[in-house]
Amino acid sequence: VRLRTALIIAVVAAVALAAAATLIRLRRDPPPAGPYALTSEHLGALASPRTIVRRIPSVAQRVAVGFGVETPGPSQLHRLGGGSVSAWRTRRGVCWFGGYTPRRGFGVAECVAPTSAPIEWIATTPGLGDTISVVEGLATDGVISVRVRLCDERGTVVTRPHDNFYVARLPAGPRPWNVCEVSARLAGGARYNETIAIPHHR
Amino acid sequence: MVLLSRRARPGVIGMAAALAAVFAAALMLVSSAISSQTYFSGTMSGGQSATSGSNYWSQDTVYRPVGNNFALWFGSGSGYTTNSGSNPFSIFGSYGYTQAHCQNLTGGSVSPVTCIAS
Repeated sequence: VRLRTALIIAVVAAVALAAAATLIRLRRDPPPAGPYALTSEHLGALASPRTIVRRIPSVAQRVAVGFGVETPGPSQLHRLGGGSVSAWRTRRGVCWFGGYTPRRGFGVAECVAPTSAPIEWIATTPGLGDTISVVEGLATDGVISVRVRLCDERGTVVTRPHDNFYVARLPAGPRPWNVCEVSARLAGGARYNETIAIPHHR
Repeated sequence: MVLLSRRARPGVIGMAAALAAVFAAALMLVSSAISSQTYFSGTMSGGQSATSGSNYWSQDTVYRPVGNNFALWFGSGSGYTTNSGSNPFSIFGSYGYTQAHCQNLTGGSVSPVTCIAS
């Protein structure tokens, strides 16, 4: 009888353990997969000695402190987009800042968590008086080109990423809320599309 | 007497200068103490915006779940920037004594949202 009780307890315990393990596995989000997933492994410029920023600017520390992420150490900060932004790996994903020049006095910064999309975007108009708006963001190694489509037949802007970062300067006039779609052409011939809907509430 | 009054005048000026210095130091302390303001924290409904108090802000940041399109800007529209795919995101700017803004551009409520001006 004792042996049977012990056996039942052992089976129940094993079933409970297996159920708990399955539940934990189900609750954990699957990591972004695929050759074009936006992860630091697919951002080759972040591993290239050629793009290392030797002198880390003070704004890097400011962004890191503000976002609560690790400050980039020596050889950890990389110049992407031909020098337009600087990026580094953090526990939040990849963080970058750019466009911050004292003369122009404006810049943006963000931290991008791993995602299955090959590109991400941020749309901005630097100043109230500026007529040029910009759509820019990270692009993984397999992205050949990025196309920004404006609403109301205002046309499209196509650009190529440089060191995992693209910058699409819109023609004079359209604002961030006039952007309707950002898409990427991938090395394998596929295309990634993301529709953007920005209601102009202001 | 003349000598005494001549000695007294620099004393008054000195005291005024010291008071001014103390006042300036206090002002600096106060301004550094309010160098960051969390001007929104909680659930933000679709289309809702929040505005900070006025200060010499140079950074505007929003934290919210990825996938929700939000906008940040200074003053009456300077540096208007939108994004949905990163968390957090910030804009930097030197627009003088101004307000910072944060807006939920989605059609529904988003939570949690934190908007910080610094």
